[in-house]
Amino acid sequence: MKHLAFTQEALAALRREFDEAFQTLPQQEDDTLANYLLLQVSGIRYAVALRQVAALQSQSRITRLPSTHPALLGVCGARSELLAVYDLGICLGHAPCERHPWLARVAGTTLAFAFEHLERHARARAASRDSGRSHVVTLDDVGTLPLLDLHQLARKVAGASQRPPNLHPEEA
Amino acid sequence: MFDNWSFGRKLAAGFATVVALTLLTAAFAVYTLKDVVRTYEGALEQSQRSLNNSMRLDTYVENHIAASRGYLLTRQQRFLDEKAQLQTDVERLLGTMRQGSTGPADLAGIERAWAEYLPASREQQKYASDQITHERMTFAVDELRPFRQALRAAVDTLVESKERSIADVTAKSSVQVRTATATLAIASVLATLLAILLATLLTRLLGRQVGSAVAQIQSSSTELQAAAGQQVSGLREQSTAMTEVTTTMNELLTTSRQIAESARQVSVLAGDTASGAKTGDSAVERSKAAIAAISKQVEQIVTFMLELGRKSQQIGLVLDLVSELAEQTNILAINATIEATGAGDAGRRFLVVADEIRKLADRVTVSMKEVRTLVEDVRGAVSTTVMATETGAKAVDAGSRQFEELTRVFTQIVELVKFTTEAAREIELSTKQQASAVEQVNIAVASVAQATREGESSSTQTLQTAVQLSTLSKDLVQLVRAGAAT
Repeated sequence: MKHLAFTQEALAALRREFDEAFQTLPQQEDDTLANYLLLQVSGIRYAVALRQVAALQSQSRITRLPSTHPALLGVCGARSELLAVYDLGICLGHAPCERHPWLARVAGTTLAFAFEHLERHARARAASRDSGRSHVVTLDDVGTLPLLDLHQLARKVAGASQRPPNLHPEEA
Repeated sequence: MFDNWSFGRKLAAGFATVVALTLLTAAFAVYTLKDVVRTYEGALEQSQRSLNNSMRLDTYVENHIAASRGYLLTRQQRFLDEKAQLQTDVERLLGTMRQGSTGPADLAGIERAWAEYLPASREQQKYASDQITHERMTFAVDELRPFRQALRAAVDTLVESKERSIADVTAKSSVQVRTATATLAIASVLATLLAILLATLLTRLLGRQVGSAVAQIQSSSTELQAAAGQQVSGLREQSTAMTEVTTTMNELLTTSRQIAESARQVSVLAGDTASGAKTGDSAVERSKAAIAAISKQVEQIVTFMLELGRKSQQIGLVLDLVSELAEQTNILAINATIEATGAGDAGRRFLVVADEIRKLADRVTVSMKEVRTLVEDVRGAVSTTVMATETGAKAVDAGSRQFEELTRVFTQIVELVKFTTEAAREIELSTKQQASAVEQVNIAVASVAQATREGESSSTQTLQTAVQLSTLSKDLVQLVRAGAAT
C-alpha cells in the first residue's frame, strides 16, 4: 500500500504548507464557522462546542470518591484546581465506560466530563436543529452529528447531585 | 483229459467224430453198394454175357441152320463156308462159355445137341443138289429138325437158365441191396443217433463251458464297460484338468516371461540406479556443503532479522513518542485555541498560531497513523519474517539433520542398490531359468494333455468295444442258453 505520508510529494506538500503558513496572511476567520470537538461515547459520535470547553486534558489522574451519584467518578487536579469528574457516557444514558482517558472541563465550572475517545477538532457551521428539534452539527466528511450541551449536562448533574455546579472551594 | 481240451479241439473232435461216422457210414454204404453193384453187375454181366452168348449161340445155330438150308437150296459154297465159320464160332463160343460163368451142366446139353446136330447137318448136305425137290427138301429139313429142335431146346434151356440165372442174380442183388440198404439205414440211424448224442453232449458241454465263459465274459465285459466308463470320465476330467493346466501353464509362461522381462528391466534400472547413486553421492557431498552454507546464511539472516525486529520495536517506540508529542501538541493547540478564543481579539493572532499548530498536529497525527500502520505492517512483516526465518532456520537445521540422515540413508541406499543390483541380476537369471523351466513344463503338460486326449479317445473306443462285447456276450448267452438273461 502506498502511504501518503511517505511519498516525496506528500513530504514536499507538508513542507510547502508549513512554509506558506508563515508567508501567507492569516485567513480571516469565518464567523459563520465555529470550533467543535468531535468525540465518541459508547461508540456514538458527538460534537461539543469548543466555547463550552474550558480545558482539555488527557490521561488525568482521577481520585475515586464514594458517591451516590452514579456518574461521579471522582476528583482530579487541574492547574491547582480540583475538578469533579463525571462519566459523560452515564450522563448521556449510555453504559459506563471502562476507560476515561479524556477530560473536558466545562467552561465556567469546576466540573469536568470524562469520555473515552477524542477524535479531533473541527470547524463547522453553527449548530442547527434536526427534525427532532435536537441540535446537530453538519460536517462535510462525517455528516450530521448530535451536539452536546455541556452546560446543560452540567446543570443536570448539579441538580442531580443537589449541589450548585459552580461551587468554588472558597464558597463551599 | 477231455475237460482240458480246448473248445476248438472239442468241436473238432465232435465234428471229426460226426465226420468219421459220416465217412464210415458213407464208406460202408459205398462199400456195400459197390459190393452189391459189383456183385450185381458181375452177376448181371456174367449172366448177360452168358445170355448174350446164349443168344449168339442161338443166332449161330439159327444161321447155321439157315446156311444149311441155303446150301441145301442153292448148293453154294458160301453157305458151306458160312457153316464152317459158324461152326467155328459156335465152338469158340462154347469154349468161351465153358470158361465163363456158364456151367458145364448148362453147356452139356448144348454140346451134346450140337454134337448130334453137326453130323446131321453134314448129312443133310448130301441132300443138296441142283434140282432138289420139295419133298427131299422137306425130308432133309424134317430129318434135321429133331436135332435142330434139340439144339434149339438146349439153347432155349440155356437161355432160360441164363434168364433164370439173371433173375436169380437180380433177386439176389435186390436182396443184397435191400440188405445193404437196411444195413446202411441202420448204420445211418446209428450214426445219426450217435451224432445227435455226441452233438447233444458236446452242445451241453460246450454250452456249459461257453455259457460259463460267456457269463464270465459278460461279467467281465460289464465290469470292463464300467471300468472303461470310469476311465473315460476320469480321462475326460483329466483332459479337462490338463486343458486348464495347459491354459494356466500358458498364463504362467506368459507371466514368467513378463516377470523375466520386468526383472531384466529392473536389473537395468538397478544398474542405472547404482550409477546414479554413485553420481548422487558426490552431489550429496556438494549439497551437504551447500546446506551447511545455507544454514550459516540462515543463521545470519535470523540474527539480522532479530536485530531488525528490535529496530522495528524501537521505531515503534519512536512512533509512540512522536504520536504522543503530536497528541499533546494537538491538545495544547486545542487548549491554545480555547484560551485564544477566551482572550478575544488579543488572542486572535495567537489563535492563528494555535490553529496552525493544531493543523500541524492533525497532519502529524494523520501521518503518524499511517506511519504506525506502516510500521505495524513492517513490524508484522518483520515478526513474520523473523518467525519465518526462525522457522526456516529450524527447518534448515531440521533439513540439515535430515540431510545428514539422508546422506547416511543415501549411503545405505547406495550399498543396498549394489546388493539390489546383484539381486536383480540373480533374479533376472533365475526368472530366465524359471521361464525356460515353465516352457519345458508347458511342453510336457501339452504332451500329457495330448496323451490324455489320446487316452480318452482310446478309452472311448475301449468303452465302445466293451459295450459291443457286452452286447455280443448277451447275444452269445441267448444263443447258448435258450432264454438266457444277462
